Order: sequence, then structure tokens, then C-alpha cells
Amino acid sequence: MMPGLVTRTKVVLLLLLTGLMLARGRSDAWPLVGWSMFAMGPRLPPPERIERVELRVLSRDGHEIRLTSRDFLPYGREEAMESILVRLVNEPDRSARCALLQHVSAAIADLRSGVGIVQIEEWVVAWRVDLRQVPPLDAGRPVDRRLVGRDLISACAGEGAPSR
Amino acid sequence: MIRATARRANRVVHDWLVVPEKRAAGRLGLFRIGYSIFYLWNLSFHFAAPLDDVLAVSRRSHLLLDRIGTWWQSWLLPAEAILVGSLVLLLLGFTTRTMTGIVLVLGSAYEGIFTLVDAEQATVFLTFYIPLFMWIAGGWGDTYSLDALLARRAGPVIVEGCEDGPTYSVPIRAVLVMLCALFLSAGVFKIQGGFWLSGPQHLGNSLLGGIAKEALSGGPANPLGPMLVDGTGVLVTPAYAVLVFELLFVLALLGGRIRDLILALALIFHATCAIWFGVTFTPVLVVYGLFIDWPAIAGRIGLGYDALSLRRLGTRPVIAGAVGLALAISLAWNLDGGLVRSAANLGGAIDGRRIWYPVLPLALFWCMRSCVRLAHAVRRPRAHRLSSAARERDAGIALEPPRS
Repeated sequence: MMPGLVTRTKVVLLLLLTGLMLARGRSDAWPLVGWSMFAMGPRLPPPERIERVELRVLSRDGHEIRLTSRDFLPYGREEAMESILVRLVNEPDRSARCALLQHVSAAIADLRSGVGIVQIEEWVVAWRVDLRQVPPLDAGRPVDRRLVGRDLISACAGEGAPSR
Repeated sequence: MIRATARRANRVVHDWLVVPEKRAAGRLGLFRIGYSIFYLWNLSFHFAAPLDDVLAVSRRSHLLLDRIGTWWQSWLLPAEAILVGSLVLLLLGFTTRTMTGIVLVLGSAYEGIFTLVDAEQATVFLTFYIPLFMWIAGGWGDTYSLDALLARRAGPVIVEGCEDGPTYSVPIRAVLVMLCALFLSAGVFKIQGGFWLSGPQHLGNSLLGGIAKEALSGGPANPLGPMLVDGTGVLVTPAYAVLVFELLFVLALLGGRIRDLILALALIFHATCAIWFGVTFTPVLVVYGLFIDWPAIAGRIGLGYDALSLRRLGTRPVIAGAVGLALAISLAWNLDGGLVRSAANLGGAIDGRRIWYPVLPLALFWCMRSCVRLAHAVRRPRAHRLSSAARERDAGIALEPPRS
């Protein structure tokens, strides 16, 4: 039995290492991905201001639920949801915005065990970053908190509904 | 000539793979328990329920998943429940090989779907490489498990925790090969391009972004921030040191104290990046547990192999209890606002960054201990020669004849 185990392991190792070399760091080849940290990322200037979108959801039973991207996706992956919320805030086309809103409200309902949603308010919360200070910002004291959108879910019904 | 070289290389790889790892059977058994707990903790932050809608809005490409359509999206919740139940049974060590196979297939698929939202390179060991090699070897359920208990009741004791045969050593070494390959890839990618060597300014900017993000998440203050604003020249030496370390990580294949030292240094690197720079590579943490002598630690704190033998319980209640517990946890995972899920991460108290807080001092301790042992090992041959000479002198066997 033992030679079988060692041979199987060697074959699998050979296949995996070959796959890693062929994938050459492509992220869409998961799990055959190399560790390309800091070698393929964007070159961004140091931040002077950080903004986050906060959703205030009014449920049918009159409760207000506050959600940020961290409530949808785990630590380290929340930026993907943040970019969706930023798209929702900045979308000028009403139909496209309604479609986005339907998906976001469906995601909230799935997340909160089918809660009925009446209205969603989108707030942008901003912090000023002073990198010469330690810490560079006070998380408890945003410099700006502004309402950028208020959507009645019923107003979007039938318009840009999720195509599933 | 080529055939002879290939045969010789094959022999070298074979001999290297079967070198015994100390107390490997016991190590794998205890590691399996820690692995399952860590996996459940990591899974507790991944919600399957809203994923369908998130993917409808934003979806990255994947070589395989793009070709099989989207029919699987409606099976996400049942798949998550089955994965949770399998992990509970894996933790308890019941039908371990089958559960390992389920965790490998479902866990890889589940994580693969999350890569459609955001690709995460750190999860490959947790979700793929470790269950893959454990499934191939099939030995990590032979100790500290219900399988071992049932086997013991059925006949003579088959496996003891101190065993170190190929069934237990080969998967540990195979995972080490993949870890070395990925560290090497990190170094090669940095040489090939990106901003690691293109000037410290870009690296500094990236780190400053991480420091600001960490401050927003309530992370500890990083005193390096102002220093990086004034000048990023301070980063040049650490940048090259990290690059050299990644390229030399393959030396861990030499094993022994050198391996311990390299693994401890890597842990210190991960923990420092996570705590102060917001670069959390957290799922990778689990792979380091494979190289720690858990039975020795368990023995020191009085948790010997026999302590987990559950001798007084009958076989049927043990099996019914294990299956019942797995069913209960998997069904309750998302009920009541995810109370069970939330319990797995202590209500969010242990997140992807905070988990590194206890790891850093432990890794520093491991590093110092490895350094001391390495220094002893270097000195020992000379001391051993000297003491041999002294013993021979005492016994009247002089190396040189006495002068008259």
C-alpha cells in the first residue's frame, strides 16, 4: 500500500506544480494561483480621505438596520461589496439604479432572514486621513456624513428587477 | 542518460517524502481538530445567502466556473450546510476519510465561488491543498478521533500517536512542498514586476493605505506611518530582506531546526503585516499548525492520548451523538440571525486581524527557540568531539603517546 501512497502523492505534486507554472499568477485559475502579492496590484497614491457607504434600511416593522460592506462579505473581501454600493450611489440611470437596488435589497433580505424592506437610505461617511498622526484617523469621528439617496423599494418594483 | 537522471531524481524525491516526521500520527490527529475549528471559524464570516445577488451585480471571471453556467447558485445554502456538518464530523473524527473528501470538494467549490466576488490567494491551503493531501494519505483520522475509538473497540489498537510511518509523514511533507512553491512564486513575481522593486515610494503608498484602513477598522496604531510619509527610503532594506526570505524559503525542505526557524519567521512576517499594515493573509495561518509537535504540547498540559478515549460511552450513543451534533450545527448555522455561526467567531470578537494578536508572541518564542537550538546544533559536533577526547583520556586511551 505504501508505495502506492508515495507514487500518488508524487504524481499529484507534479500536476499541481505544473499547473502553478502554467497559470503564471492568473487569479481566475484558483486554486492554482501563485502568491503575487505586491507584484500585480495597482499603484495608488496615499489616501487623504476615506469614504464608506452606509445603508440605513427601514423594515416593514418600523426598525432601522444599518449595514456596511463588512456585513455582506468577510474581512479582507469587503472592498468588492463596497464597490457595488459606490456604484449604487453614483448610478445616474434610473433603470440601472433600480436593478442594482433590487439586488442589494434581495441580498439584505437573504442576510437578515427575509426581512421586509420598505426603504433604503444611502449615506456616505467620510474620514480625513492625516498620515503624520498616529493613528491617522479617528474611526469614531467622521468629518462628513451625508445622505445621498433615499429609495422606496415599491417605486422600483417592476423596473429593472433582478433577472434570475 | 536522461532516463537515469530522472530515475535518480525520482529516488531522491521518494526518499525525501518518506523521511519520518516525529509523532506524525498524533500530530495529524490533533491538527485535524484544530483545522476543523479554524475552518468553521473562517466559514462563519462567509455568508452564502446574499452571494447570489452580489454575483448578479459584480462577477469576476474564472477558468472553470465560467464554463459550467450558474445553475449551482441555487445550491449555495444547502452546500454551505453540508460543508458545516462535514467539518463537525471531521472535527470529531467520524468517517474521517469520507468527510475529508466532502470538505475537499464542497469547500473548494464554495471558496471558488467566492473568488468570483474577490480572489483570495491565502485560502488555497485551508480549502484545497491540506484536504487534498490528507484525503490521498487517509491517515489523519487514525488518532484523536471517533474512528480510532471504534477501531480500538473492534480489535487490537492499530495506531498509536507516536507512529511516524509514511501514511502520516508524506502528507505533511507534500504540503510543505506546495508552501515552498508558493513562497518561491511570491519572490519570482516580485522580481518580474510590480512595485516591490520599482521604488520604495509605491510600496510606501500601499502600506500607508493599509495603515489608514486598519485605523478605520479599529486596529492598533502604527508608529511607522509618519516615518513613511517623511521618506520611504527606510523600506529599501526590508523590501530586499523580504524578497531574499521568499526566495530562500525553499531551504525549509532541509527540515529540522532550519525548517522551524523559517516557518517561525514566516509567521512573524504574516502577523506583522496583518496587525500593523492591514495585509491580512489570515487563512494561510492554518498551514503552519501542520509543522508543530502538538502531541508533545498536549502531553505537557496533561492532555495525553488516553484522555480523549471516551471509554465509558457505548458505541451507538457515540455515533448517534456525533451525527446528531453535526446535523444540529449545520441546520442551525443560519437560524436565529446566525447565532451558531456567530458563536464560531465569538460574536465577531476574533476576526481576520485580531486572530494574529496571540500568534505574534508565540511565533517570536518559536523563532527564538529555533535560533537557540540551531546554535546548539552548530556547536554540538565540536563539543561532542571534545567530550569524546576527554572520555578517552580519562579511560587512559590517549590520542598521542605520553612523552617520556
